[in-house]
Amino acid sequence: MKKYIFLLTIKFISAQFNYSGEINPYVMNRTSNKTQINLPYRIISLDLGYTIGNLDIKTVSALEHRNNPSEWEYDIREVYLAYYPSWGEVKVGKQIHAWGAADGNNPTDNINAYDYYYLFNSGTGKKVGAFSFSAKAYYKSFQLEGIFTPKHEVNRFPYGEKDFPLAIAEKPTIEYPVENDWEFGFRIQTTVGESDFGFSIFNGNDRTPSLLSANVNFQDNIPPVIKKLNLGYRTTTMWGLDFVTFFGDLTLRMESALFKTQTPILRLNVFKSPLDLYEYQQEINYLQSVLQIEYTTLSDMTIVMQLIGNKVFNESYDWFHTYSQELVGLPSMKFSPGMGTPFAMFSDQALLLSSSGVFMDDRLDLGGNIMMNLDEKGQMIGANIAYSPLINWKIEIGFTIFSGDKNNLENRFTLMEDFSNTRVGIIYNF
Amino acid sequence: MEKVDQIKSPYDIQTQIKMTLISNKGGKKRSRSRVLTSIEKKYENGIFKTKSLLLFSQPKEIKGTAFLNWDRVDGKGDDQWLYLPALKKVKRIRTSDKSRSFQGSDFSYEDLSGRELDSDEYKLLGEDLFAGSVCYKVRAIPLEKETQYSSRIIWIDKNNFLMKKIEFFNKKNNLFKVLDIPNHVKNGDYWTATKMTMYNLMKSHSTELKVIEVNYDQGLKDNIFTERYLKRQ
Repeated sequence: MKKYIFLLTIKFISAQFNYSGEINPYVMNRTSNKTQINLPYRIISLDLGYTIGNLDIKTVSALEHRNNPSEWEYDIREVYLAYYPSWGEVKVGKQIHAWGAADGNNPTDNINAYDYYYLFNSGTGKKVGAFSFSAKAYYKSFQLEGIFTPKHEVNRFPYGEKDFPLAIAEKPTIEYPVENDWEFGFRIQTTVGESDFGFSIFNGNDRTPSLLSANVNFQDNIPPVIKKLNLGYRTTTMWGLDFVTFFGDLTLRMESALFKTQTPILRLNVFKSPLDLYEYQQEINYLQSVLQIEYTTLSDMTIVMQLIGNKVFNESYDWFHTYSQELVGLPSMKFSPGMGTPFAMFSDQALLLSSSGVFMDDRLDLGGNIMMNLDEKGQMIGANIAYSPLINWKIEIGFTIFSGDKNNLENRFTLMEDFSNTRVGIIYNF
Repeated sequence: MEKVDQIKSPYDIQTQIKMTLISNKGGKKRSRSRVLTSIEKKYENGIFKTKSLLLFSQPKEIKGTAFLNWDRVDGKGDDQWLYLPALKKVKRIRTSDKSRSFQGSDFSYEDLSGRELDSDEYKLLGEDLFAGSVCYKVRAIPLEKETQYSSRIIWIDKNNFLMKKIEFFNKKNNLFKVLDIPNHVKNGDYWTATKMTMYNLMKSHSTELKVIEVNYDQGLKDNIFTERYLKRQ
């Protein structure tokens, strides 16, 4: 017993506690009328880690703040236990996963839902942690990863935010909660010559709600009137491929995901369902791809080009009466992907150009990006300058300008025009 | 030069380094430091010459950023990976141009990778005094074309055959970089350069590497030099 206590004491003494984080207060103002864009943002981020031998306990949390009215919310974004056996790693808890070869806009990265308040953040900042169990094994040049999520997570949308142009006025009621929360994903990666190849599968429920049924008023001699739309989540299976290869100093990263999404069978009790209820059965295949080419100049400036594509095909749908099961001739509803890269909501084809570099011995960070909608008129231009007068301190200024099509008010970029902003902030890293 | 090559070097080495970038433009000296840990293991058999890992701990903004390099014997492009905590992803990368600056410093990847004895042709130029030591002055002319240098002049301490200074000449035969290695200390069987400064004469800029802590021959396992370890740091 004494020996056991001694060993345990030694273990804890040899444990390592580590922390890091940032404090980042900032303000965003509209370029149009200089008024403040009043959305919540992460003013403090804190990562804590505790290591005991092959075990890690990690938490990633953030304090979210809204400037006016002043609101504060503490968010535990990740909290998980990681075990590192000789063959790989096992993690359990609320985690953010990262799949795919491209640096962002990854169509194969679907384990976590997205936080639309942070849509324009890079990296994991825009994701919502998912309670999950994951295991990854390394064998020679192979990596095999499996993920199981027992709880369905949905995207966080800025409902009712008048300062977010694409916001929905109020949080919709979900009429049909997901019946089976369980979600699974597998990914295998290997190296062939100088290239890495990855293949992934994911099966789960959509992150955004879609139409599953409607209450419709059918009357003779007049067109049917939809009285109420009832929402739920489609089930989606994704098959993904990704690879990385090199041509001299050019790096090519490619990622493609084929999605098969379908409305779940509602299994409604016909005797308890209203007589005006009609179910919408939809099955759609869509493909999302991203091609990324990157180059680093001699002055260490990284230039990245991404071509993002989203294509819907094999679309089929039926409307049928819940009570009689008879098919009826109602029109199809507009399809919106419930999984995949969130940039598909802006455009079906877009070109992204970005460059970034660090100059003056880590004092000056410069970054710029352009997103061009290749489908129709619309673009986003952004730039960012961060100057560090003292180590771990930065003053950051930047702007983002959206421009759409004045003749098309439905154009996403036109809707985003009023979100064109300048941003000024301070960052302190600790 | 054979005696320089015969100086005993460890199988593995773990060094904590303070890297200071010093700008001297317009006579105004400004500096900014980083702290990183370098872990390297030599391989005598197989397809790899060395495997190395760089873990950045300061400034805090880049804490957790890690760089893994597998240096191949056959001279083909190194296998390289970069872990960026913000992406939570290990990125496979490639730096085929070894003349590139290493992490914004005045050292290039080529400067840090070391050279084989038979990679250069040597000519003794005479003797010179440097940092209180009498040194052999040797000109080394590379035999291969894929280098950024036309030649190097190396100062070698006559007593212990340690390199004390190197002058680098570019393809136009202009002196453009000078590396000073004034101090070495002996820890057990091995010599350690406790401070190195690379001066870039064209840019009025220099980079100083100071060793904070060093450990030799710890029997580092191969699994340290893997993507898995890169992520865990």
